[in-house]
Amino acid sequence: MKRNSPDQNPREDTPQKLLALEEDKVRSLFNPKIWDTKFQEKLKSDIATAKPYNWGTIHQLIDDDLLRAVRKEIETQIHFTKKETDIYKVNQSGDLANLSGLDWDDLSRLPNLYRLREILYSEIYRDVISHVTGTGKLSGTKTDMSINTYTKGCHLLTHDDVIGSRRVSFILYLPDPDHTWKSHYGGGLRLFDSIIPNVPQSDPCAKLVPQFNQIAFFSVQPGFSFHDVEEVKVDKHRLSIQGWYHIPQEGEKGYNPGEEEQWVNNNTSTLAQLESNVLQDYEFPKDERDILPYHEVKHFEKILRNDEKEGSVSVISEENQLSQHELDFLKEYISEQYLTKEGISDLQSKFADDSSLQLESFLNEDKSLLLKELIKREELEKDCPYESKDVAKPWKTAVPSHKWRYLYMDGKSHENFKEDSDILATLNREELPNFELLKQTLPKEQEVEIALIELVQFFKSTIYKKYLTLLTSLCPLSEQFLVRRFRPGKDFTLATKCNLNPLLNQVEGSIDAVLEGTLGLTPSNGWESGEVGGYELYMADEDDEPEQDAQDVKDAAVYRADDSGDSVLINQCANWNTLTLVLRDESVLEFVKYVSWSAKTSRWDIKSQWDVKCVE
Amino acid sequence: MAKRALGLGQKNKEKKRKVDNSNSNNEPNRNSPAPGADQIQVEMDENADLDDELTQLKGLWNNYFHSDRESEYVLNGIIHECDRLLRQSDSDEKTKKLLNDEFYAIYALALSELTIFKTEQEGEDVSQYFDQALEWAEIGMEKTSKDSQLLQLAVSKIILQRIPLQFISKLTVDSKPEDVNLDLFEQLQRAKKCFNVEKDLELAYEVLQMFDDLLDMLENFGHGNNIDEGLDSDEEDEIEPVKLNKKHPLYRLQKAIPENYAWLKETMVKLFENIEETTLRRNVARTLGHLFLKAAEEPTSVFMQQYDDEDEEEETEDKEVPKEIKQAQKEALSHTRTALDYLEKAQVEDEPETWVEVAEAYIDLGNLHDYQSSEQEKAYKVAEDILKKANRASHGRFQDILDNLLAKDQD
Repeated sequence: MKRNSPDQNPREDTPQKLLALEEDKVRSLFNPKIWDTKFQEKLKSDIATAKPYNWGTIHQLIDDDLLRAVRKEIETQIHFTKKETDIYKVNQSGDLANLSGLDWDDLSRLPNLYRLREILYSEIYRDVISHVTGTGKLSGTKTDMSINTYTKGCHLLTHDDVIGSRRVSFILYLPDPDHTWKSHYGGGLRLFDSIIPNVPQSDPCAKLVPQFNQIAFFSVQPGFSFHDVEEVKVDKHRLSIQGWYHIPQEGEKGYNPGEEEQWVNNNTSTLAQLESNVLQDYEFPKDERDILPYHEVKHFEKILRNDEKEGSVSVISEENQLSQHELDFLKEYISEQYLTKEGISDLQSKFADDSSLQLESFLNEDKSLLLKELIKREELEKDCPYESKDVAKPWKTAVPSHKWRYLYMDGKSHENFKEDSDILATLNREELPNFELLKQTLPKEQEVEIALIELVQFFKSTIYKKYLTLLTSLCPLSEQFLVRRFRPGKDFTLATKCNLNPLLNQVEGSIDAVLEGTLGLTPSNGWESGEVGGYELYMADEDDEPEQDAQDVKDAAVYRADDSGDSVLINQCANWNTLTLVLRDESVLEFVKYVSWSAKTSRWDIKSQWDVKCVE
Repeated sequence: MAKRALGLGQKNKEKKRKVDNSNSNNEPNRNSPAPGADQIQVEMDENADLDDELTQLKGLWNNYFHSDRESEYVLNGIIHECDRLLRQSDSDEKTKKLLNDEFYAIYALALSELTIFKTEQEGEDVSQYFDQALEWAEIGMEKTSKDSQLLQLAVSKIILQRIPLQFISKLTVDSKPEDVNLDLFEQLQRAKKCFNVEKDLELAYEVLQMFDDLLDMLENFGHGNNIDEGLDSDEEDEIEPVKLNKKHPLYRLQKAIPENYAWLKETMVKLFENIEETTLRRNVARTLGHLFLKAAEEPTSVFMQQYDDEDEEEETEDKEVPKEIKQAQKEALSHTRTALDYLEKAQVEDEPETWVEVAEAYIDLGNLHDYQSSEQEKAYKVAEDILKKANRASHGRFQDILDNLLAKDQD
């Protein structure tokens, strides 16, 4: 499912509700070292110089007995539900903020958890965090915590935690206290440097391997504090308590009237920025299609109009059926069942009814076998680059990493962005895709890339576009092709809507939708259940309803999901040789779910898009 | 004029609107199943006589047997069909002749399988299903042939399904003899006696896997919660079996674990030798590999003890290796080599995890050879090469095993 808008507002406690512990008692429940000035100064300086941004960690923070008791309480008293959206898969508990609102009976069920929350939001401890992070005073009344357990396959993709009045984020880890959590278990907190504000690098530059009773924290820095939770790769529970300290509230020390409002107004989450297209220039590949030459388009128009034939001499006939020459050309790649007159007519009416088509075994057997063998061999015998610096021609890494990450070929020059100037230089020399040129520059050992490029060239042919025109009764106006590879444990796209080309909206008959095709080329099995991700989901945007609050802020770290499944329009698992065609209007969200580390191979596909118009 | 094309989202809204409108017009409820929704498709052999009722029943059973077995609905269908054929056979000689041992085996096995769903339903007593299943297997033997290998095998499976499901799942370490109304040890002996590899090899493999699971369950009895925590391959903590009271219903079964493992290995080898089909043969080979690795565990730990002792004591040059350690080494090596042999047979070309099992067995083998001997170096090298290849094929999934091995080399 897609993320949803937040409604879990942090709780504001009235002070008298808290069963205040005495300061000495609070002190005694922390590791005494944290009250030591030398320790604090060392930590402050570590945080100030930390990479990629200011963050810190403390081992053995809490009294061991208390935290073990908390863990026991969580294990025995709290129910977790697995939630999955485009950005995470995690087992969530209810919101901890309601703890103080519980009646005494319920309180007695979780007394240790209650105590933990109280000391974490105590003034003396908040003052330490405020001092070492240099963020200013933190609220003790606006508490904001949740418990999550990451089991095998769980993950949370890159985000910056910016929402509302959050000032400092923290994660207190509670994996099995009697065993060391090892790096290869996954579940690490990974931090990302930024190319420019709001554009994180592809790969993390720091990773914290969480241990029991260790806390990690950082000040929430709009445009900078990008982090993720690495997928847990083994059958273990990585339990953690996640929380935030907010800007002081009215009546608290450090409260400045208007400060919170100003902060919130200045800093929308970067994800919301992504959706508002502020950073569109910094996205690669662009969600844009190149306009087709008119001499090509006019033939499609005539085919659809079907009344005035001039008998123009061209590569395609203007009849609304395939000529022998066209059929022979298409047969080279496409299964014959989809090329018969009846076949095409069935597909036509199905597409008219559903606005989508799923064509299994789309490529013919010869091409399918050949390509599958090549891709399989690539997977089994060659090292796949996992860091963007190692990604070599003709592949490129899709950026920015809080929107999507995958390898792709788009027929344009190779690039490997390291800093701002690289991006600007590319923007300054716009080019059109040229798959033929790309193919010619590849050594013949790159068999799989060459075969995939040839397939794209087939899809770009005028005859294939005539075929597409016949299937959809729509006239293509522009096109884009991407060969994509989603690597296990690495790649995904977040849910986004399609971008219409404003240059085309004046065209007569143009429609507010994009025609999209995905040909699955994943050579392995085990994807059907969706457990290892990699599925492509089309869903109706529930927020699209006009009555919805226009101020909704999308945020990555708000754990709510639409699990009803009502809004799912198409859910297509990674597959071999199924073409999915979808006419996608602006109300439809689409994403490819993060591919789990335990997937057997990458998810491969060819993604195509066309702006289209109706011909009447 | 051509209809204006609507995108997927708009189309969806339009369809919803239509459904809503039709609902308000008292049209049939959306929730009532569409016609044909309760039908299933059954694949049959090309040469099968589709009009033959037993053939149809077999088709349905095979469909269930090879499915993920999540449909109680299909099982109920099979049982109803068996009931119907039995009733029909009372008055129809032709049907009577049809009811061979395969028919009774299907009936008995389906009843036994039904318990999987019944345990999830409150207040259901699974014992009656097992009793009936065994009864139909016995009636089948009476009506067809006492020596029916298929029905014997079915009895074996029913017992092995029954012991864990009806009994062990309800027992605790403190259970009393009166908590169990059957002699479980005797039951297991019967299951072993009935087992054979004469007719249905796929079913035979399933029965042996259940036997294997049962032994595993007995070994870990009383440790339930620890397993839930999720044990991982890199954990070397051995779980000590919980010692049971002599009167505990599982006491004799627990005592007999070693001899039952020996029986399982021996029987699994027999099964392996009877199989020609590739996938089943590979699966059996893999299980055999694991069984032999398991058999090597105990002598391996005796052999390894000397290195642990060395760490604790002062190192003494040219210390004589005790005889029992040499014996343990020999035994462990022999089991590990056999395991390796089977795991190699279980390899699949495009499944790197099957290669890694071989590599891990080579590492075990290397560990068993004398420290820094050429045999040890050779075994580690083979393992390293396989792991490197497997890593390349699987985006570094086995890097931690490889790192561990390379660290070992540097020790």
